[in-house]
Amino acid sequence: MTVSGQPASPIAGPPGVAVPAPAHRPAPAARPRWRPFSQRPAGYRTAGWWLVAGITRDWRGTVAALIAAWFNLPLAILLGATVAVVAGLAGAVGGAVVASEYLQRIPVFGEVLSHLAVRSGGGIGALAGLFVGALGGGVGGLVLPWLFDYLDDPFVTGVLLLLNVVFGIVIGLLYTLYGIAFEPWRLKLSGARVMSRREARLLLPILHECAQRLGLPNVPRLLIDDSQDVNALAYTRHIVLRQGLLTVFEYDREAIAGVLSHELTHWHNADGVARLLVRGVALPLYLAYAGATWLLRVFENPIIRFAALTVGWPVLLAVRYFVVPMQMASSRAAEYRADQGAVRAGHLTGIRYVLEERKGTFDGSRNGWDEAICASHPPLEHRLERLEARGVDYPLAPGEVEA
Amino acid sequence: MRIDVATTCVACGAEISGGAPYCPSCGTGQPDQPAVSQDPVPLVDSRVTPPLLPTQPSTGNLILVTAIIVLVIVATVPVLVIRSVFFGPDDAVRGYFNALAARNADAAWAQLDPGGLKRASDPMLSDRAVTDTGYHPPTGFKLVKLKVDGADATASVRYTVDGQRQTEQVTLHRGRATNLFQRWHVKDGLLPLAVQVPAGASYQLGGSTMTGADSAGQFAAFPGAYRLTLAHDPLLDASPVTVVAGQAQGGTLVPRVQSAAQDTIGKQVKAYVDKCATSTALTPQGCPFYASSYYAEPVHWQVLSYPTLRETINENGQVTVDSQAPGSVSITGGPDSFAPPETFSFSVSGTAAVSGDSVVFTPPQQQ
Repeated sequence: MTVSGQPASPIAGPPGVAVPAPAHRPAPAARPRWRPFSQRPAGYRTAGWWLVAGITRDWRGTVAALIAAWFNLPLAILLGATVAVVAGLAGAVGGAVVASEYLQRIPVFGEVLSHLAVRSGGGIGALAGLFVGALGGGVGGLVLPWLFDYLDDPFVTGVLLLLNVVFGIVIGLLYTLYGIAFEPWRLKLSGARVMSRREARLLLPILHECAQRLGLPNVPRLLIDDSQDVNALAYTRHIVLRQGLLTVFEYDREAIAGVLSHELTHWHNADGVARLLVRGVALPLYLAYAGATWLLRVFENPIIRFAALTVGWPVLLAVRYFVVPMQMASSRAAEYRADQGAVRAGHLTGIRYVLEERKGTFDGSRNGWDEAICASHPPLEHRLERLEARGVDYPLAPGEVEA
Repeated sequence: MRIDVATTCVACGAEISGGAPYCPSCGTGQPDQPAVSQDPVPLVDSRVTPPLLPTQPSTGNLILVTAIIVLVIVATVPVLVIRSVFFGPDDAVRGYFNALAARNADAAWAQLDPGGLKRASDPMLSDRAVTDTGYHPPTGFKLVKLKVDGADATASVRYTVDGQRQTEQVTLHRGRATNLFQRWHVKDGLLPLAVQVPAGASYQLGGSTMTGADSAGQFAAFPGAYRLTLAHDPLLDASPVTVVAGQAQGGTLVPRVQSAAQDTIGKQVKAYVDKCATSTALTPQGCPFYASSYYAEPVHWQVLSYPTLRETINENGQVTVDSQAPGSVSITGGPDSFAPPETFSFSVSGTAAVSGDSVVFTPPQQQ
């Protein structure tokens, strides 16, 4: 990890304005008794409204998760690929034969043409076979499981389909409730810790100031994770700052304020609740996915890896090429919103500073599926583009003289 | 970071830095040290969105979600409730026996899983079979026990047929829906009904007249008791028999030759013998008596007594006639005879059959 040695110099921006500090709801000094929904954004009328708002944030992700995890998408992928290969081979052979027979009837050139056609006809046949096979197999995989038992009663089939939807959503809701209620422990297990006294002395005032400027009546609990990633994460009731962020930006108040107002916006918008719901609805698939990726990560043995891939590839494909892209599209929209939160809080300078710095610390290449489609965040340059104050020039290269 | 004189928070009294705009422990803003920050600045990009999303779902969304939920409930729950309350396996088996008690074959058939049976071509499954006065439907139906195992169920049922109490095991299956509600059907509601009748005879069963090609008939019939009778016949009759569907022994029609037919046969035999006696030949053609060549033709035959006849029904259903006690005939020879007049006994045999509406005795062709 590269640590920037630059001083925390603010980038050109409007002059600072003094704001009178209003009375704020006091943060609890001592850890209170366990309250599963404490420190949720106070703007919501009740915890129920907050949950409803959160779980209706990301329709696209939820529907994708439902289809993938509860409507046999991996089976459809498996069947689609298998049938496509078989039909492609059959199409290649059949296409070549048909083309050859047809063209041989043409006088003089017939034979020559038919030799050519054996190749092109085979190719067209193979493509047609692949396409039709993939389509037929995929649709078959989605539909077949429903036809085995209940073809004799379409009503029951319909009810079961609905029940599947209901079941998936209920599982998703239960997972969401679990995720919210046990968030303190989950974060603790993942390495987050309570702030030290001097950290609190620096960070809490910034947090409260950002919240107040965003118009938020309360703040989430702020935790520190000692990993050296340059990152901060908003959960449903917590914000976690990675130590790497503090180190890289040398505890710069403006950078921290930019990041915190960004995360506060996520927290207020219940983006964490939306993420939990999608993950919960896709839980069976995610468990299989986690199992398969864990095997691939942990084991070097080619036999085990081959077995994991052989069994798990439809699941891997379903998650990577369907659920994640669908979910991440709305995640990127949420990132743009959160960046605007930093602007609303008056920390345009801070958020720009952090994003500019991160450009230098990360490999920003976005070629490939993972980076472009599965990215939870938009490209940094695009984010910076939306964070340009009117009348200010933002040179791309450090030494570039503005025109 | 500025390190300066310590002061206390205006709200919680904690010791804080004199330059802190907020209290680190309770977050209260400190009036003496206002936070220094920037106002939101206008941006170049027009794609910026309001950062904070509304804190309650839009009314349109709420109405949509509620409408979907209500629609789904309205479309499914009543059907499911009606199915489970009125169209369970118990309802199917009860409906079946109630329909039979009401002599409604259509309603009974609707509760059945036909399993390949075609009702149209089967007289025992027609409406006539249960509306026939000779049919006694099961009455006093009682569902004793019902065991449901997934898509299959077994019902122990008790009912009374023709005064006899019957206990049956009826199996049911949940399969193809015949309508929106009904999925349970009685699988083995039809019972075997065996009849034993004279070969080739026409008989009546379940309101239909049938002709058995051979002597045994096997049907699948609605539970109940049926009356088996012989169809109208000038030669034969039989006492009606009550056959209960499902009973192994079935019903047997014992045919007998009608007494009127016996009289007719007796008269025809007499006429036949009398006609033979008018002959002057030693061996009258096709007749039951003849004489040796000691007698010279023309001979004179005289019937002294007629044979007592016995009619029997053979295994092919034919009525054969033979003599239980022989008759006697005397012969007187012509002028050139070597022998004196003498008396012989003779027997008559033959068959009796129906021709048109009457009984006809036929002697054997050659004697």
